[in-house]
Amino acid sequence: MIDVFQNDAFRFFLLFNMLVALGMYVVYSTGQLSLGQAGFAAVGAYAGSYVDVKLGWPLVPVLLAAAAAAALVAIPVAFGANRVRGLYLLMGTLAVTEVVRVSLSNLDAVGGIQGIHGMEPSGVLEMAVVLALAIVGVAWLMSSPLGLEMRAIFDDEDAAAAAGVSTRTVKIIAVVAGAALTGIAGALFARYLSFIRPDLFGIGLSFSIALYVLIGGVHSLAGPLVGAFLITYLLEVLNRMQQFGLPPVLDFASPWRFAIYGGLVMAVMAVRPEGLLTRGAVRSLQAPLRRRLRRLRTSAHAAAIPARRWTAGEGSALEVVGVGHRFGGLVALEDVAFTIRPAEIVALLGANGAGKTTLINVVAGRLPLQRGSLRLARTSLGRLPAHRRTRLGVSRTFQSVRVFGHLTVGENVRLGLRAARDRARLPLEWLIELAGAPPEALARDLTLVGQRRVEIARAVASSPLVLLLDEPSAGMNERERGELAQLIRALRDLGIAVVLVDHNVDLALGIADRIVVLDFGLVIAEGVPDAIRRDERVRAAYLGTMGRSA
Amino acid sequence: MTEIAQTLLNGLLLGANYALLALSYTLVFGVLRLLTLAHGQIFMAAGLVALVAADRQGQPLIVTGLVAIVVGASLGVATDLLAFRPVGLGRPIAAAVATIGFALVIENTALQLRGSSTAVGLREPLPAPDLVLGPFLLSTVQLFILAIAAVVMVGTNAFVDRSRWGMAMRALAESPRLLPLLGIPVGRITVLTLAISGALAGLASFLVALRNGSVSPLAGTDIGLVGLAIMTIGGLGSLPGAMVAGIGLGIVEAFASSIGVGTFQSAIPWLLLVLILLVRPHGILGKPE
Repeated sequence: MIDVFQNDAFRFFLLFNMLVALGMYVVYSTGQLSLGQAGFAAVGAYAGSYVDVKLGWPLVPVLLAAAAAAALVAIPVAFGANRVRGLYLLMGTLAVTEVVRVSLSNLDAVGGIQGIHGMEPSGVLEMAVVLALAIVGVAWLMSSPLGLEMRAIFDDEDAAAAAGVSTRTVKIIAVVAGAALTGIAGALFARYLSFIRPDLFGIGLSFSIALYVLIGGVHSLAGPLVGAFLITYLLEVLNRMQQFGLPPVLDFASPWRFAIYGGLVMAVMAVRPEGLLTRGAVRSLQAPLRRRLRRLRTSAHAAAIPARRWTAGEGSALEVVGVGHRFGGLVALEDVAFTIRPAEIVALLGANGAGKTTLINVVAGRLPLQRGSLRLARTSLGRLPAHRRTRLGVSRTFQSVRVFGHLTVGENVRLGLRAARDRARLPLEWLIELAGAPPEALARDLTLVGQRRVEIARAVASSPLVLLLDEPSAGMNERERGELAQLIRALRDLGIAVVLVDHNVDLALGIADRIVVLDFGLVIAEGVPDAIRRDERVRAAYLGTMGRSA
Repeated sequence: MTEIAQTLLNGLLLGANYALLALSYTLVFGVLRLLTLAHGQIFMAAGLVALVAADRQGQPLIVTGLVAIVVGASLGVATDLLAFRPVGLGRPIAAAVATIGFALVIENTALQLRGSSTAVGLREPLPAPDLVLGPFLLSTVQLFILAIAAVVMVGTNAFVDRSRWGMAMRALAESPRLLPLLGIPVGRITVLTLAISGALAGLASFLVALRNGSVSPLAGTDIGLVGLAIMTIGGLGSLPGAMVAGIGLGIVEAFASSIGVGTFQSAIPWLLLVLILLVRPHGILGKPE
């Protein structure tokens, strides 16, 4: 029986693989599945080796140079990556690996296909120190507000923007930071081998790095580390099967080790598609704090809201002037104009296809403003992107619930709080009560209505001037709808201007101060609920459904 | 002038091969919205088995070609049964990772059964007398490849566009959850899609073997990735896009080779991919998701 850990090279590559997995983790935490990691490792390895051999720099500056070079190359890649999504991103970054490799092969300054030789050696100890520092650094990053934003983007990029996250900036930072870390790993790799060649950094390495994270799981820091460790260890043990003194029957394992590995990859994906360590699994190892779901008790807590107001008492909160929107030839909004004051609830009514959700999307910045103008208090919203509007005070919920499933209830709410900027913040405890679930529960474990409450709490957490609620009562029962009505009134009393779109006409007429009725992209009626109930055009547009609630 | 036309022609012939390969990826992605990373290995294995089991046993070329197609189709079906189905249609990343596992299994098996990584050659390389057409030189093998590729591409397109099964495939691409409610057997469509796709990879492999005269057990990864790059350049899931991109790449490579770009030749698909994505983030003919 032999101990694979006695092998120095094995120990080094075990740590190396864990470090590159960490670099990949930083990038993939934002949902950007990069196959450019081998390219970044190559750039770091070459930059480090170059300043080592040609300029005689010592270890620490060598590693810093490697990080800087990899980060520099990653910047244009990150900007490019921002333009594409999904498989296009995967293939684009794979191209980066290949282009870097071929470019290095043709660069005579770094030895072409011969590469660079004669670096100062460094070994397992240096690698271990760097890995330890990297683990501490990445753990800090991922638990920081920036890390929270990264993980939110992984779950839902549009919703993250709606929650005030500058998705573009955060994604670029993630790619560059992950590349820098990978560059350092590359430099250490070069020093361990004392030579470096372009063909050491092929597409295969990029795929291996991705597998460490995908097999380990991306929803915890431990996932990528465990993935890299297990895969490296497994392949080494299989490779040295004969040396373990096992029955010869098992000798087949060495030549067939990649098939065995491949089979295990398939099995892991079938059983644990999110990787071995899911966030749920990690948390259940920790002390389980499954508190009973607490009921939403808004009326009792409305009084507990601090009296401090962030909203203006005068003027209009939101002005919609002549807004039009077309999808190709389809006119969704023809010419919509209305105003909402602070501390007012305006319900948008209209049959399916009347343009309600389109209007919300235009106001929130998810769809571009094609015609007309939008003013929030005294600021023109014009062409501002969604996250800037949220920070200025336009918050929204989505028609189909969009919470960050892999974030806890508490984290969902904290993300919303960050968008409050310099406006007075609502107390976290009150917002958690509003969310109606234990703060440590994962949002995706909640029921649909539970998730909707979390989404509303997240939107309210940003202390909005204008809150856009798109079908908040969908799926709710009578009691829950009653509680929602109380909550919306409480939010109005805080000074928030609430725009409510809901199919439940009773709810809308019951709590709205004013009603705006849309039909085929035009405002056909506007007024207090009683007047709207009697309006003939509205009755006609709704084909009598309004009569029941009168 | 003739020189340019000749290069264009060479590029077209090379591109037809690429297009066929990209088509096999595009079919899977277009219908199932899933990425298969095992097709390069299927391509390699189909060619290898056909050469060893048919050509080397003295079978005529037509039999060798059929064996390649059947092996390709079988491995395509295996991809569905072993990699996609256990994961489920709704998890694209896990499904793609599972196909990496399957690719490893195929490649390892090929290497073990072959006993070495050396390429297997055709029993007797095709007599390829160059055809002289006016000022142009053409190889009959390449014309043959072009003809088959053209027929198969048009046929595949027509099948997906016109036939009942093709309609079911497009419906699956559109809304996977709705199909079972309409009583359409989703499982049969996914198997059929992967069988056709695998058969296309097998056919492409056979045609490439005719052109190159050999198949290497290690050829899978590179050729597979080039196929993926072409699909991406053309626009994910777009059959015409795959064909345009395949032929386009063939022409670009032919011109690059005639100018002489050295080792940068192998980076051409990737440079082209980056350029196209910067201008058109959804490829040449792809639609935004």
